[in-house]
Amino acid sequence: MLDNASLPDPDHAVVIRSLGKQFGEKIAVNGINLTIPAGSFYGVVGPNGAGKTTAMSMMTGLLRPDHGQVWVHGLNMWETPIEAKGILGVLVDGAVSFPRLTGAQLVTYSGLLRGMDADVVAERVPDLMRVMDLEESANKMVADYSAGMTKKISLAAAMIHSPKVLILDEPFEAVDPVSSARIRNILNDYVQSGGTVMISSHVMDLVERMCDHVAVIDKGEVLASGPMAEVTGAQSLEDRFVGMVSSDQTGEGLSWFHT
Amino acid sequence: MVSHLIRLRYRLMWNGFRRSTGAMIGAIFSTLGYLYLIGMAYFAAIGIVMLSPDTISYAQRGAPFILLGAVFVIGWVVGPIVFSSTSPFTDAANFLTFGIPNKQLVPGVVIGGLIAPTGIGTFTLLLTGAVLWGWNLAAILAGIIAAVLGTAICVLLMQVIVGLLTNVISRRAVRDTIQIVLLVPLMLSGFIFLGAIETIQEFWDVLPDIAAWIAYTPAGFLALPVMVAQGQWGMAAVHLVVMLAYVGVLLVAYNAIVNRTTEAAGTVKERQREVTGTGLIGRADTPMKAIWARSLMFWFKDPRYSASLLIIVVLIGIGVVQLVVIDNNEMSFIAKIIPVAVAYLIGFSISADLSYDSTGFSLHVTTGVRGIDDRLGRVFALLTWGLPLLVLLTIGMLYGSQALDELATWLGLGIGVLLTGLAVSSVSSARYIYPAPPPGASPMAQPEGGMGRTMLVQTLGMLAQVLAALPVIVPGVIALVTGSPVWGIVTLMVGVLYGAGLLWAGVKIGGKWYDRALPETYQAIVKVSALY
Repeated sequence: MLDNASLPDPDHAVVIRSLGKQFGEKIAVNGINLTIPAGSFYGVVGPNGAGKTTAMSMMTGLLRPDHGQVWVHGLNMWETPIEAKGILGVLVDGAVSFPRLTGAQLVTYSGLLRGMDADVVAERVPDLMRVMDLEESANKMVADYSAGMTKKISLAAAMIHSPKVLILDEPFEAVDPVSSARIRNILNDYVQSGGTVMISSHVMDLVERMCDHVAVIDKGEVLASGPMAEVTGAQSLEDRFVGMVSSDQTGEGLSWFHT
Repeated sequence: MVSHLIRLRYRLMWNGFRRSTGAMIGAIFSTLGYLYLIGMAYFAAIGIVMLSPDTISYAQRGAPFILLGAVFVIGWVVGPIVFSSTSPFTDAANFLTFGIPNKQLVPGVVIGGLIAPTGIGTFTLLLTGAVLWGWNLAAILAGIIAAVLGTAICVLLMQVIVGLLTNVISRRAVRDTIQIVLLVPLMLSGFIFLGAIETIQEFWDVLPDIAAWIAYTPAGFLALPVMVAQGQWGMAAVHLVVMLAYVGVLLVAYNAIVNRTTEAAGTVKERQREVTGTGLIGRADTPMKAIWARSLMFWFKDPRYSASLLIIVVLIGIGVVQLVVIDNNEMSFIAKIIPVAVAYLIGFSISADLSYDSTGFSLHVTTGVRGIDDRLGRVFALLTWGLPLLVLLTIGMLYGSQALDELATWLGLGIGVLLTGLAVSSVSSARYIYPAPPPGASPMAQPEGGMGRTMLVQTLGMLAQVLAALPVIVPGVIALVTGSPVWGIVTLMVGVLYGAGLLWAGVKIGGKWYDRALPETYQAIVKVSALY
């Protein structure tokens, strides 16, 4: 239930209360509650179709919830969307982003859309291209980028305004290990300096290594959430995760699949 | 393996139908239409056979028949490029990981193409050549051979040309240009056809010359039965050898393309001229100006937008033909009204803007762009080139029709129609999304389903545009009927002032709608982009 007694603490980066969404018969997100502390590196894990992307869409203003609320540092996403979006950086999984722009143009465009000062944008774009290792491709069309490069340029576009909170759907998919390590370092520094990062991923190892908090989502419900150590206990995240979400039919292996 | 590849075609087709009933109904209707066409063709052929060769000579029968073959070749080559066919068989890269030897892949794809519905349809219609000559065994046999060879040439030529485009030409700009240039004759085909009907007698006279000219090109394969029926055995033999040679060359070429695709997999890199700096976008300093700059760039850089500019070029072409070639005072009205038609079309064109952005529009959503900035940026981008074009075009057409005294009226009509059209589009496109090709797709790509919605939104939008323009059209018509210069000035003033006022209101209301229903609009965009 939504707690109407008091507004959420603005010190919390993201607060989600009773957030729900139904598509026809299917309940995609079933009234979830999550609290993401400021300065945390928050991982969201769950099998395909668990409702991760639906939940993230509702947190970032892309999908209107059937019920429930989202606050970003005390700003209500669905009552004051422009203010809430102003302190949020978002990476949308699977979205094509104006492929006929060059990489540098896309990042510049993203900054200007947020109403940033043009000179500041012009200063930051080369920095972002450098850390994303895209300097050589800065003036190539995004249409000619590889999947990993596209991911990196979208990430740069989400970071240009130095937001307070980053919500990243599958940020490391298709990104090479070198760039991935560099992006992890940048995100770690960002968290150290007080920023908040929320990522979704299928890669348990990565979430366990990077994140200090985690939420496990399956069939539209939050199965567990909180500091990493509390959720995993003595087990690894992967074992804990499989134990939580796997159904009764564990399935037999392939009897013929050996040489 | 060959039979696997053939079965795969039908399996894919069937699965496509299962996924979308719309696609199945569409396929049924086009099949019925095509069967009707085949019926008519055989009916006509049998009718001709009833007449003796003295009434219609074999040469006269042959000429349109040879042209029919040429039309098929053009259809086979142009169709997949313009509509960016989704058949996985046109790109050998799809079969790369299966490690199928060329000796099986090439015949599998070619024979599969022959006995796919399109191949069978082509063959059946080309086979009319077997009945055109009455009971002439040699000609019947030649007709069958020509139909087989002809279908093979169609299939192979399509595979080779599409293969060249996707795997060998590495410059995106070159591919874009080819695609757009091929659209021009398609758009003009209606007018060409009308022109041909008008001068049908002359056309009929030059037909044998055209037929003789293309007989030995790859498109002239249907000349074989014509030659045999006329007893030109020597020419027929040479023709057959030439056609077989074409099939051989095309097979070698296709084989080479498959080889290149396999060996060079992943090494064919996009090459393109690099721009330096951030161009127009780098000069913007507000969200509205950034959207203005980006939209303006896309009008000239994105083939989907450039394709809609083509319609304007075609319209201008018709106006110029009207003025220069026909030069008939009674008909000069057509030339004068063309700028207004252009204004109407470009006013409508931005109603597809959000669909064209596709999921990239998420950037506008998550950055918190205000509706008014989005609407204004897109409108200004269009006006930046649209307004000067309209003014110049109006002056040019009126000068050509020696009617510069009507300038105020026509300018008022054009500007009024443009501004009110933009007003309507700014409102409607803020909420009503219809399917449009996503980035990277062909400008002519068709969605699987969703046509009903497209028709509804487009028809209502275009009707609303006419209604919104009525306050300009009424004084404009009065001015033209009475020839009164005062009413002309009135039209111009109404066009500019009322048009600007309505546009401002449209941008305001559109901006409000945009802000209110932003997530719903974005979800609608996601939905229609999945139709491609």
